Amino acid sequence: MFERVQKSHAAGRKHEQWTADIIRDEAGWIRPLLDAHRAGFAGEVASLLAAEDPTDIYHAVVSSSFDADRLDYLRRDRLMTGTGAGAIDFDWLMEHIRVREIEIDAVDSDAPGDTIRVPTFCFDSKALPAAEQFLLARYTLHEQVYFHKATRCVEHMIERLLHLLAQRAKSPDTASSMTGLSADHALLRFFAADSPSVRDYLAMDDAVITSALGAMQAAGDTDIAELAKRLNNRDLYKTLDLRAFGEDEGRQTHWARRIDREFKDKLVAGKVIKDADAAISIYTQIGGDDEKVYKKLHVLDQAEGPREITTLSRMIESLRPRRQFTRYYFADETDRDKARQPRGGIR
Amino acid sequence: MIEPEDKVAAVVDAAGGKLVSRVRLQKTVYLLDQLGLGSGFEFEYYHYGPYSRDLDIATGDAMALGVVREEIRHRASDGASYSVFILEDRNASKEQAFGTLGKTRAAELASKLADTHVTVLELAATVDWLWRYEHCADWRSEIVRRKPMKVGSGRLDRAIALLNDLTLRPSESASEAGALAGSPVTST
Repeated sequence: MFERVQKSHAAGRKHEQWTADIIRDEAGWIRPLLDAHRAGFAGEVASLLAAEDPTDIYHAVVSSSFDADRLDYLRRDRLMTGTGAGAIDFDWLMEHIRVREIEIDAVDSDAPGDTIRVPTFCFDSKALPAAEQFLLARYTLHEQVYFHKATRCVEHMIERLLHLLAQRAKSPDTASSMTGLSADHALLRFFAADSPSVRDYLAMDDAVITSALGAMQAAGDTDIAELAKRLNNRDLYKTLDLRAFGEDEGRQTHWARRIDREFKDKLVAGKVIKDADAAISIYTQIGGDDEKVYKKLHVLDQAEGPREITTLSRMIESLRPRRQFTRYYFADETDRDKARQPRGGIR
Repeated sequence: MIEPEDKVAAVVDAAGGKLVSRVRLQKTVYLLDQLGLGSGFEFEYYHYGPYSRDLDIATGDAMALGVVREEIRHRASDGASYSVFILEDRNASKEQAFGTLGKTRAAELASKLADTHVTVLELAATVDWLWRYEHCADWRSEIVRRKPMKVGSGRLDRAIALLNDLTLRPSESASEAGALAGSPVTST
């Protein structure tokens, strides 16, 4: 969400690039710690994080089917949200993790010619049930937590609020009065800068945004004031999920086009927000391209070597097709009710 | 009226009624756009180079509306699955959906792209993106930095040869990269 706001205001940098900059920062506290281990080590770690594709097994710790980030968020988010779903057999998986080489090219037909292979993590065949559970846990958390309608609605309301703030921040004379924030507030400092510094970036976190909601209710920009008030009072926009019109995706597409047409002006004004980026499959990320090959999970077949898990598990194969969750969030509940009224040939 | 799924249908039609893999579809539409397809899809940089979420959604719509069918196949070497998009009715594609390219020229180009190794296609689209939209005059160093494993074995040279063949010769001049660079942002 934060990256999308940055991108639309010409300050777009991916979080991996920011992380690499934080590690390289001479004034930061991470660089001396790493360079104390070995001269130049901080630069090597930063390059590893910023690299698109793996060149060695260390990259797999940062980005692979079984990377440190996934192992962290799957367990931490389950604990912090209190959901009973999504448990994984961590010890068994660690016991059966192996390193093997896989093809790095995007998955396509079996074209003749050279292939490039890189080392990554895969699992011994004894861990197949645990590997299934691991992927299922990620799927379940997406379905029940990350893509929950309230979660997505709040994210989109905050994104809209940050867009408005970023626009106002570009006019220093009126930024404070129009946003309700002090002129030196971290949010205004970040969005006002053409190239925000690592310091500006590090000053931004959930607490800064949450604590700014009170002040923003006094903003001269009434859209900012209203969004801040609604977020503060948890008075969320009203959701219309296209699945309310049935599971047939063709029918959902017709309904979406009707809503896009009828609420065109309100969609532009942000009074209606369309969320077409939530899609789930056993691998898919939000609104993403094909998943990288080394982020797919491989299990060792004794005869054939590493095999992508959908060829070995019927359960995982059945979850491979992508499911789309397209939703609209309406500022005005009567608009939501109007949008779902059957009319004009679509029922 | 041309809907987004009509553009998807046109590209699959141009490729011979069948187009293999999502990555190939994305790079094909991106390169054809630079030559006049005029898809209207907005592209951004993603892990296989230029990528359009709009195109991804339009592909989903094309399948939901029965314009295109998706078949799943598996790579022999590791069993990894990939999509094959098949046009349901080759007589149904609309002439206007081919933009200024026209159906015949689009078919010549799409056929060439269909015969190209998918990683060479990824590299070609990325080189074009780097100089055209990221204003990167030294795109050669940049792509080696971003995709060090993929540029080897002569693949980068093949990607550049493909671009030359498509009349999309990458600019090596900073001023030209800046002057010709525009926004990839267009809306449908």
